[in-house]
Amino acid sequence: MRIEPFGELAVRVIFGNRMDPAVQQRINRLAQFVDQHPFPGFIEYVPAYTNIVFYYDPYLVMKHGKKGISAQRQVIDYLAALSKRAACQPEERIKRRTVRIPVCYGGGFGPDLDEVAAYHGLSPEAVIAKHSAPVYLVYMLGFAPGFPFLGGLPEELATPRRSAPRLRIAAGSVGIAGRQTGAYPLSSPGGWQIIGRTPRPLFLPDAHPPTLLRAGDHVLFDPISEREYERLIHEGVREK
Amino acid sequence: MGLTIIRQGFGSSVQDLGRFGYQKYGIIVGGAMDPDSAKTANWLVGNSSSSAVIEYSFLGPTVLFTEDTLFALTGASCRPKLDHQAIGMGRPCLAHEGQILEIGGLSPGSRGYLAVAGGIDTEPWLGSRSTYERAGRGGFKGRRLNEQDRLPVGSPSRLAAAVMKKLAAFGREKKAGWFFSWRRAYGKKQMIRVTPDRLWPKFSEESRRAFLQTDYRVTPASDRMGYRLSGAGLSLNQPLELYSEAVTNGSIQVPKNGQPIILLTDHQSTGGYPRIAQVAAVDLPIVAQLAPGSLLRFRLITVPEAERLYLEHRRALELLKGRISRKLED
Repeated sequence: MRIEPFGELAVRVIFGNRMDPAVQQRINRLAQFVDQHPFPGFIEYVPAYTNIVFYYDPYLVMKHGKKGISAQRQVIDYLAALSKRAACQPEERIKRRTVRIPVCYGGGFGPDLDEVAAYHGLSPEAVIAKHSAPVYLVYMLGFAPGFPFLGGLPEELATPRRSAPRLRIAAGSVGIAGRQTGAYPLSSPGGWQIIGRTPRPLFLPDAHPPTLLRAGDHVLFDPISEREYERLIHEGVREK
Repeated sequence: MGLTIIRQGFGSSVQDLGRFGYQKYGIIVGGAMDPDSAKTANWLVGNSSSSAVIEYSFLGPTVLFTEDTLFALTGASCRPKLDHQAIGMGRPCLAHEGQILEIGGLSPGSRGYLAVAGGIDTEPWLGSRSTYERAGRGGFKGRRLNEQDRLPVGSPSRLAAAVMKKLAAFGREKKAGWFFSWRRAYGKKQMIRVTPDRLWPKFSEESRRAFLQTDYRVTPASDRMGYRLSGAGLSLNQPLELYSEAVTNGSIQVPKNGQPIILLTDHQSTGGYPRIAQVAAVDLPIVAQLAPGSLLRFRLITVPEAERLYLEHRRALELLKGRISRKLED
């Protein structure tokens, strides 16, 4: 682990250099420790695949901290001590939430399913089976509200982005881009290969927290029929 | 009751100091591009620093006050008129019900702020009234302002009410006889201080030299999300496979075409491009005021130096806040 400046209002705590569930776990642990023991001037943190950034207000750090030592030094020392404590504590088994995301694959909801299948010399059914088999891990959220960066896509489904990005991808679209897979919380332009769509909203503007997924969650994609999709959409609308 | 937008100006939106604590969910901070000016506008009308204001770019809106309102204008220079009477910037002014404020074009500078006593009182979302266009939330209906939008205004503070009473007793011109401006020179070629990103050493020596020794121009493809620059191309010593990670206001990222982008307030919470440097926080409001076509030159400073400048700046802001509140109490 090392801690580096990220400008003068943030530091980055780096735990590794590649996607690894163990790294994600250490990042989550430090985040939880800071939630329990925040320091004066702490604003927020943003976890990612290999590191986590802590934003702070140097003015408040100095106001409550030691004189003659820079705010950044004080934050680095504090986080270093905290992560040492986090590492010393017995490794309790991390409890991960599992979130099931129903997906209607192919057809109008997944216009690129056939292309992805052809690219890999597989049948569309085989792509669906392979995509819905693994337990995915949410490493981070970013790009858009509730957009998950997932790890765990089978190597044999990795597909390059579309050469011509679409101007509009519908909210709920599930796609593949390189070795990543994910779902669009909001409709937006994009170059991902779209293989299906979920009726389950990922951005929940009126809920706390305002997203379906959080870093550290496990995700399962459950294949559903178009009828089931329509039924779930209808139910979702009725709930509100 | 409150105010009605007669002409929307350009890019006008409701903003405060931003939405904090939700970047880990992919929700941006947003907020005023030039927070120093937004805060000053609030102080001039007896508001707290984080009250919501109207931000506009290049061209200010025209506004009808539907009740007696204490207001102030800060940020980029303009020639505001209240019912065709010049009223000036950086001072509290009293508008009576039915009066029309015309802000007009901005220059020099790009972003202006209109604060009203009591603050723009739209429904907060996740603790902030900043407009988040992409999510369609916050501010006024989650979007920029249009003609005929009617914005609610909160109750003026006791201090603001006292100032309104005093100004109402003035003759024709109901404005304070003093003003405060946040003195900033926007040079023809603006110097912007930066600290090195951790990937700084991974850029070629030639790129690092060009980054600091040649000018960059702000292109028209620049907005609240970021400024695209044009100038000497920048490249890494060797291609790197990077994972997405947190990025922030002032991060200077370099996409494949080699032309740097300065991320600004509406930037996404994470990004995957290599970053060469980070704009010193003290210079961010200056970047926000640069118009397309402006030239800038980067100067490298250390992180401890950037922190020292930032703390100095915050103390100066505190002093200004104190001076304004003493003036209001006079």
